Amino acid sequence: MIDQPAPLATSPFNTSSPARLPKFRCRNVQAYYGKTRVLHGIDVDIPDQSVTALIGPSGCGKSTFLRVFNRMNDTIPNARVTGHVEMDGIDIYSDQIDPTVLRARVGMVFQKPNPFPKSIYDNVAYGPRIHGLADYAGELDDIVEHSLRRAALWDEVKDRLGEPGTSLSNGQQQRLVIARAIAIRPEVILMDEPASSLDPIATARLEQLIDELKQNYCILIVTHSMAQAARVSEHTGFFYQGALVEYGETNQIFTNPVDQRTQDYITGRTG
Amino acid sequence: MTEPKDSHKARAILRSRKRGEWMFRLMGLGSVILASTILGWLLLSLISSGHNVFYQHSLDLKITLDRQSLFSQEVPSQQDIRAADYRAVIKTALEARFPRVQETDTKKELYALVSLPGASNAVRQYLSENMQTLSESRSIILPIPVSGPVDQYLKHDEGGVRVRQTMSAQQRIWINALIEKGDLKAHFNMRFFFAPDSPNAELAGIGSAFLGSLMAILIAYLVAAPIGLGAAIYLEEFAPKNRFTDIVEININNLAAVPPILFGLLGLFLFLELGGLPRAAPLVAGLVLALMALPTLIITTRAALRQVSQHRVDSALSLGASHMQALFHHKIPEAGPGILTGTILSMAQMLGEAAPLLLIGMVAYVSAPPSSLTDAASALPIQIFLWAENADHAWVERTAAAILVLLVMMTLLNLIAFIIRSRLERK
Ligand SMILES: Nc1ncnc2c1ncn2[C@@H]1O[C@H](COP(=O)(O)OP(=O)(O)OP(=O)(O)O)[C@@H](O)[C@H]1O
Ligand SMILES: [Mg+2]
Repeated sequence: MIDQPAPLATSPFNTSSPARLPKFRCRNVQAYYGKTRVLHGIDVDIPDQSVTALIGPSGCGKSTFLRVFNRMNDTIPNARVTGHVEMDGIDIYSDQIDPTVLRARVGMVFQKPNPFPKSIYDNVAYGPRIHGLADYAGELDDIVEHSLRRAALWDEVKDRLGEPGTSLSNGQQQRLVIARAIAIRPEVILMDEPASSLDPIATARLEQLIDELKQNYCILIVTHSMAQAARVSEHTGFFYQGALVEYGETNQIFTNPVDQRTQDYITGRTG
Repeated sequence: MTEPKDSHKARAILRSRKRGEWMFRLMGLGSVILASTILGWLLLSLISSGHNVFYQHSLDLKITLDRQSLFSQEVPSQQDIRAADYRAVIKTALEARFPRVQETDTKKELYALVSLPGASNAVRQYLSENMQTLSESRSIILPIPVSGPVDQYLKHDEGGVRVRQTMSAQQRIWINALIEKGDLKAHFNMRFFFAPDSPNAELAGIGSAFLGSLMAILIAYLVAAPIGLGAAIYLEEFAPKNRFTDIVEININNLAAVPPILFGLLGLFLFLELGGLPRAAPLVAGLVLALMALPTLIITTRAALRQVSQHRVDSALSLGASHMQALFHHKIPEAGPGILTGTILSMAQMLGEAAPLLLIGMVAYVSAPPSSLTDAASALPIQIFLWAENADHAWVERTAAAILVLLVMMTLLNLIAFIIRSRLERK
């Protein structure tokens, strides 16, 4: 039903290696808002072509940590990140890295679906346009169609590409912004509670989509739903008060957590 | 058994809370009623004294134009037409209309029925448009404006004893005769909207003041809008947060509260003394108003930018848009209606501003409409200020009418701003 992602294989950034090196290596990552430290030295490796879930109580720093990977914390006036973050072995916080180029490789989907007040087509075409990804006439159309197909939205919108993106249902809007993120051919997709405003059916579709996308992308997803984390992810990290308390295979975290705080959280005793 | 006591106390609290709420509502309602009464009274008094100005009476008079007696040349130039005196023609025409009038004093009373300068102008205009077709001699019927007192007499015929006293018995007989013949007619007063100021109330209009205001507001907009937008975007998006920008910010807020007359002084010094620009020119007026509008413009533009939801801007940034791209593709377009609303409102405010214009020389009587940005001109609020000095009834009416025009324009501008804003909110 979904097309094979032919253009992605030719992406200049896609250097997926068979040896399964981690996509990201974080060493002693700390984040501050003004003088308040909200991430206390995170060490973790994030594998490629799989889904990693970040769970933890509200305010524990999941979103802040997610924004470390596409340097969106840079856009928050008093936010500061220290430590070492490597993507494919390259320090993404070095001076040579342009955050806008990094963000073309690391896409993001926010909690609330927020299409631009433009047509469905122009929403998806926005990224390719600003990065000049379409070389010949018709290539932009191809990118838009391909991205919408990847996001499992094509069949629903192919006859109404000119209508505003805001006219879609909530679940469709969330798939539209995923298509918008995919259109710039990223290698990583960060998702911050992507299903929190969706109904169960739209959530199920989204989870199915995540399952399909993980063959080609490294996906990080923040979620408040244990069940969702268990369903979609291979690895899970549990955050508590700015620290990564436990990280491991999802099965192991949910069936046999090592730390007492993890145990309490997943059994619903804290939260 | 504590329950009755508790519920008693609870009821007392509830009652006093309700009373407080009721008092508060009553006070609010009272102030709304008071404010709208005062406003309504102001509007009513303006309309009741100003509405008369919107129509005016004219007399259809048969005038004989004889080329030889009017002009020395065979073919008079436009210059000759402009320079010639037509009072005699009017007087002859009036005498022909009432042939039985013989004594000099009575003739004077007869002439006083029409506005001689207005009538001369009517003839002048007719001639300059129809000279080619004018043979040796011709009789035409021209509507010529009646004099101020006659106009007042006709408008206040019923109740105005005071007005009636200005007409002699003989004059009243003539007027009645003219009305019976159907030669005296009321019509919409175009002159008031298009004519320049005049020493004669019945001929005075707001045309040139209106044009002056329009020019000044246009200049103010062209100067203030881009500067205000640029400054606001810089301060909101790019300026570092340090002591210097803090001081700039405090100063902008203070400038918005500076009395208008000080901006007039600043303009006088900057543009007239340093810049050497002419006094009373619409260009200078526009520049002064631009100075004055800038602080509020910057404040409202920044507020509009701040109201844009950060989500879409973040989305654009997360797609790899640069700060500039996120700003120009998303933030400014979304803030656009808000910025436009602020601009229109501040221009409406500038339209009513008189004090700073007085200081740059816009106090003199200006008869001709400005033909360029550096011509001496007037402005609507200045015109109102000048007319308001006259206690004469005809001038009081004109002042009220001019204020009404100004109010209507400001209301229109506010309405436009309101429509833009509600469009924005519906989205
Ligand atoms: N822009 C900001 N300025 C200051 N403090 C912030 C800012 N954003 C987040 N914080 C603080 O940083 C801490 C971590 O916030 P973060 O949003 O990362 O938590 P979270 O785990 O995503 O929570 P939630 O599950 O509620 O989304 C919180 O204590 C929060 O108050
Ligand atoms: Mg969060």
